[in-house]
Amino acid sequence: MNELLTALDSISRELNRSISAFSNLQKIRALVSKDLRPIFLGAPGRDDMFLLAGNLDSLKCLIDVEIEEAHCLLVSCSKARGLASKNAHGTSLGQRLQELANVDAAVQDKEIARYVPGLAPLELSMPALEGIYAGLDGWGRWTSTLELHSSALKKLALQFPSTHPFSPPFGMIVNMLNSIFLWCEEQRKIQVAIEVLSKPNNKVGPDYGSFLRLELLELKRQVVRLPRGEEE
Amino acid sequence: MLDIDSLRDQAECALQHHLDNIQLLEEIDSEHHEAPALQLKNTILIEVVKPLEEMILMLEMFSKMGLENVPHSMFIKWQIRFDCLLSRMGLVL
Repeated sequence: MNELLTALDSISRELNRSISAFSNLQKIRALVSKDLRPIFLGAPGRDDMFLLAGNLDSLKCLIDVEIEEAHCLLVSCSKARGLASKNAHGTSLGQRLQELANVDAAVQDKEIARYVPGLAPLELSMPALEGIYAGLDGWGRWTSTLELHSSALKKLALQFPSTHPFSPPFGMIVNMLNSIFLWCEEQRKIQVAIEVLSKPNNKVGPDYGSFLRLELLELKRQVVRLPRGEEE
Repeated sequence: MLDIDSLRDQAECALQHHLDNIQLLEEIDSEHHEAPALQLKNTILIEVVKPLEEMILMLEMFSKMGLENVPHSMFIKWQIRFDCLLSRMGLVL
């Protein structure tokens, strides 16, 4: 009996850890979503932005499902513990233990190479997501933000087995962050190019003023205003 | 990756070569050859000298921006132009 109670205690600990890990994951997802909100609202509509916003929403729902599942399993665990401590061996305890069998197997394995609903991967570590953009502004700030988020989410994604329901949205989010990063990086470069071409150049003869002006016009045509609230 | 210094050297050598040729054309004082020499000089100026000067100017701009800051669209456009110009002159195959 003691052995059963010990097993139930470790299952309960793992489920509580999972709830805490999923809640932290939800916070990271919310932070990424909040950080990118101005770019979703202010930048021109692009397919990768719609896909990114959609996948961030999907991930939120999937995390909520996992938290809900962990709570249900925790209730089962608590009831099974109550029954076991009263020595009430019967169909009810058997049913509760059946529900917890996959979690127990994963806890005993000490690693999760397979998806167990409601259980976060063991030793899931959360990356830090602050303090990177001090001193940066304009498109440079956006490229740093996107790079930071992409790398943090990639580290997180690698900790989940490929069969986990989080894996497809994670993959899509990382890809879309990289794609938007490239677009913002191009905008940053255009900003630099416009600044250089706009500076007066003594070496340039009168014949080349129009040549550079055309180049400048071409660049200005491609430039996009910074998302609202980000103008210098 | 674009080698700015090497391209600039090639363009400057080619430019100097064509400016020397123009100098030679200007020295022709035969009445019979004055018109064709002027026409050839203008062709060289428009077809060769001006594009080479633009190329050198743009390479200088790239250098000022830093190659890592050159917008991708601009980089691709000018890389093709540089290649076309240098290959037309037989400087690259």
